[in-house]
Amino acid sequence: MLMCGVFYLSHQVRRTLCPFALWRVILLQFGLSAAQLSTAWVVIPRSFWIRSFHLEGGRPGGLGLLVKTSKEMTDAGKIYNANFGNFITSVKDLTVYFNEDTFVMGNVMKFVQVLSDLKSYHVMLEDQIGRAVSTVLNNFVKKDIKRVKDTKKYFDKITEELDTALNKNAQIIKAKPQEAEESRKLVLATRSAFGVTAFDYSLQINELQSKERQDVLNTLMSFMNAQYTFFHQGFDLLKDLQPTCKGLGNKIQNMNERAQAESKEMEGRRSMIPKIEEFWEIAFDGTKIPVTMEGYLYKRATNAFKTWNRRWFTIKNNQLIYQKRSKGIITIAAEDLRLCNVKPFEEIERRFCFEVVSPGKTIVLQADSEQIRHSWIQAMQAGINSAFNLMSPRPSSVSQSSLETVGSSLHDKPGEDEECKKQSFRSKIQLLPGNEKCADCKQDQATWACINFGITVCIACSGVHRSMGVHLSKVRSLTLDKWEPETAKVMLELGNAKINQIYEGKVDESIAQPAIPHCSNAMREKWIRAKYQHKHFVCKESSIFTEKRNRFRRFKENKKQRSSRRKAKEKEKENATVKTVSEDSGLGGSTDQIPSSPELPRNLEEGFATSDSSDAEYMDDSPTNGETPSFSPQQNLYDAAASGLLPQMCECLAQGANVNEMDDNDKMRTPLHKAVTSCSLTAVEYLLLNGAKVNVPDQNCQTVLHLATQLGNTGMVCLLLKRGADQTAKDVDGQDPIMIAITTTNADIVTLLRLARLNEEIRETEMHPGDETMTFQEVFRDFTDLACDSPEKLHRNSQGKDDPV
Amino acid sequence: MKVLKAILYKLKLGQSVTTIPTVGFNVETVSYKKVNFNVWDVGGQDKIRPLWRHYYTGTQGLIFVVDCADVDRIEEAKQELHRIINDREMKDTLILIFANKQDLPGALKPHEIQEKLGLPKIREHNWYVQPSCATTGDGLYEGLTWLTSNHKS
Repeated sequence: MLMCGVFYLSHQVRRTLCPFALWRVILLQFGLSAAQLSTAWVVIPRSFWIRSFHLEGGRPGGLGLLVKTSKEMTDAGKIYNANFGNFITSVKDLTVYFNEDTFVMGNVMKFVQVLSDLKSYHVMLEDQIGRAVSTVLNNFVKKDIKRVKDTKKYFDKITEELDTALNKNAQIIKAKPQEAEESRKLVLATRSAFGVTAFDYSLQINELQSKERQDVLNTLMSFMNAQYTFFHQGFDLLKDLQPTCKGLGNKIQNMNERAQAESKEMEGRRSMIPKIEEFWEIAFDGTKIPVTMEGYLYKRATNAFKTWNRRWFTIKNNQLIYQKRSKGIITIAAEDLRLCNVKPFEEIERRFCFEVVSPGKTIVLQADSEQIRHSWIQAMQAGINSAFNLMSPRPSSVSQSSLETVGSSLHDKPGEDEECKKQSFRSKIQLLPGNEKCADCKQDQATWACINFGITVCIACSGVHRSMGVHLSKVRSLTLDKWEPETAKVMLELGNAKINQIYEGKVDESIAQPAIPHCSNAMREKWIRAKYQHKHFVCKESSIFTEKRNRFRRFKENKKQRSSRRKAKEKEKENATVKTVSEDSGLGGSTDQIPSSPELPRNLEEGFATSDSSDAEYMDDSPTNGETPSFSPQQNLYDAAASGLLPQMCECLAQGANVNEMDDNDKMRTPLHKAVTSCSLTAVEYLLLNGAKVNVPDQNCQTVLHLATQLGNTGMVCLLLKRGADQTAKDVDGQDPIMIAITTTNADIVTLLRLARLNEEIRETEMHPGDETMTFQEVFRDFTDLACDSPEKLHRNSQGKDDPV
Repeated sequence: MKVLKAILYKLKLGQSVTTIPTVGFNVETVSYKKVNFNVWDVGGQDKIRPLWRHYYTGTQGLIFVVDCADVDRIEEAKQELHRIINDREMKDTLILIFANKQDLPGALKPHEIQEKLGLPKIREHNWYVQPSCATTGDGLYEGLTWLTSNHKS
């Protein structure tokens, strides 16, 4: 029985500890009574159960598994929390799309806050479970059970020793009683040690068992508590959120209703889709030509295949660009619209094609319909025109080369200021009464000018004016041509309102219908030729200008001797500013540079200067009864030229006065002679533009250049030389202008005359304009600017030089 | 400094048209005596003259139309003409000068134009002055004939 038990025991020890086997061994070893046995049953058995439950790692279940699953659970919880965190972040990121929408933004942020709190509760839960299960139970398994295991090892050892002692004792033969006695003592000692160890072992198992009960329950209780806290906190948190959610629910309901209403409305619009063609017609309304335009066009590839690709084209910044549907890279189809030409392209099988031609490159494009093609061509044309109109005189790329090649642009040296000044005179011209519309067809956009009439016209009318020839009309572009300052001042003195008063004085529609915007070319041409070439509508009688002048003439005759000269002179200064449009430059009319010269018909000059504004005065002074002497237009022209009055001169010319006819009452002088004596550069320029010959001598063989030199009028000499005045002509005393200039010691005029002569010689001998010509142009430009902008400077200089003599 | 357009459309359409000033350019193909002329007509306003150089490349002939009635600006025309033909890109071009508007009073005669434009001093180019009148078409085909017979293909 014992053998069997020992065998069983050792077998069990090697493998697993079976509670019943051990129990039986102990029972046998101690030889316990039945009563003891029952006590032992009471004391020990559960601990054996539990030991087997926990110590046997090979079998499923047990505390080890609990620890393991709990760890797995907390790990999974950590991953969950991390993902939860990511989720919150992405919710937060969503607010970017609702930057403007404070309602959505506010609510989302509120939810994010709640979610963050929930997340932190989760983290706390993790933490508590980790501590409760992992830490406590881990300690139990690793520390307490290990101690029991150690004790068990010792118990096993003692058991073995007891076995050995019993075996030895059993093998002793009867013949050796001494040995038997020793053996019996050993057995007794060993048995006693075994008993103590077995008891210790049982005790420890017992302790472990009771501790385990507490620990398991404690652990589970903490677990439950942690869960309770978690859910409780969560409940409180979400309960607080409840009113917000309720309110939001209502709002969402409202939003939903609104969205449904909107979608219903949109649904209603679906019926409009069949009218999409109308939409296109509206979008490409031909009446308004946009400068910027974009849309889809087919573009024919420039490669050999000539495939057609649909591209999104845009006219923008004076360029034509395109890109693919996906808004990819922008390709420049036409870099500079000024170098482009657009026209329909019919030599192709496809419909609605047009081509954009530029030097060295032609792009063939196709629109979706005839109307769209028309719109594109118009928009391109408008874009090209606007590119030209916006063109600064120094466009970045072009002017670089123009500086090298265009000599005259070299002299635009002050650059920006200069340009501003020119822009300002341009806008001043356009601000004159009537100048905002074409003088002939009344169309807006009168950006062209007829400089000899001093009017602004549209491009269509400018074409007709040009076709009449420069002897009738000299056309310039307000924006695309360079302007001489004198020419600009002629424009400022006249203007559409004044000129039409003359040229449309008595319109006879039986002769020609007045042109209107966009009228036929034939109608336009008929009107313009009737108006300017045949002068059909000019009043032959005195208009307000000559009326005033005639009345004044009477006044002048009556009051010739009046000692009002000083007074008149003062008035003259006042009137200068009233009369002249370009008052800020101090130039215009008869007011610029009035040097004292015995040659000047003084009283006439003074009288005219006041004529415009002092009607009342001479009306009072002079008898108004009697016949108004009538003067021929020619005579009126002489007087107007002598006074430098442009509108009056214009009227005289319109009435048939000859611009070059000599006045046999006044030294056979031409109107130009008289204008020079008026010292008005503008008046002289006006006559020159209207065909006045510059080199006509009077009866003293004096040309206008002689006169200007005698007057010491540097600006005038400069202008006349520019306009081809001959400086070799000699007057009746055999003097040429330079001799006069030397006599009067006017250094500026001497310089100008010499420079002009030099330039003439160079021009005759050399083929290409050289540096000297440049100098000539430069100096003349300087003098021109000075004469036009601040004539007093030129005057002072010559005065200064005159003084010492 | 007259643009070519009236001449161009007279040649192209065979009828006189009153043309508006060219802002930018016009390009047309004109056929004459089995020769196709690809004609580029460029605007002449002061500020767009610097754009002319963009059209130089590949040009075989220059048709320079002078308004013979605009005596005041003949010197300007001379300077522009020389500026064009002195460009490297234009060194092999033929120069046909239409002495235009011969019908107008006071128009300079072809030989005067020749002098005023300083043509006799031009050695590097083959040039020719053809009196013309764009509105009637006089002289236009004579000019083209000179171009075709002098063009080295």
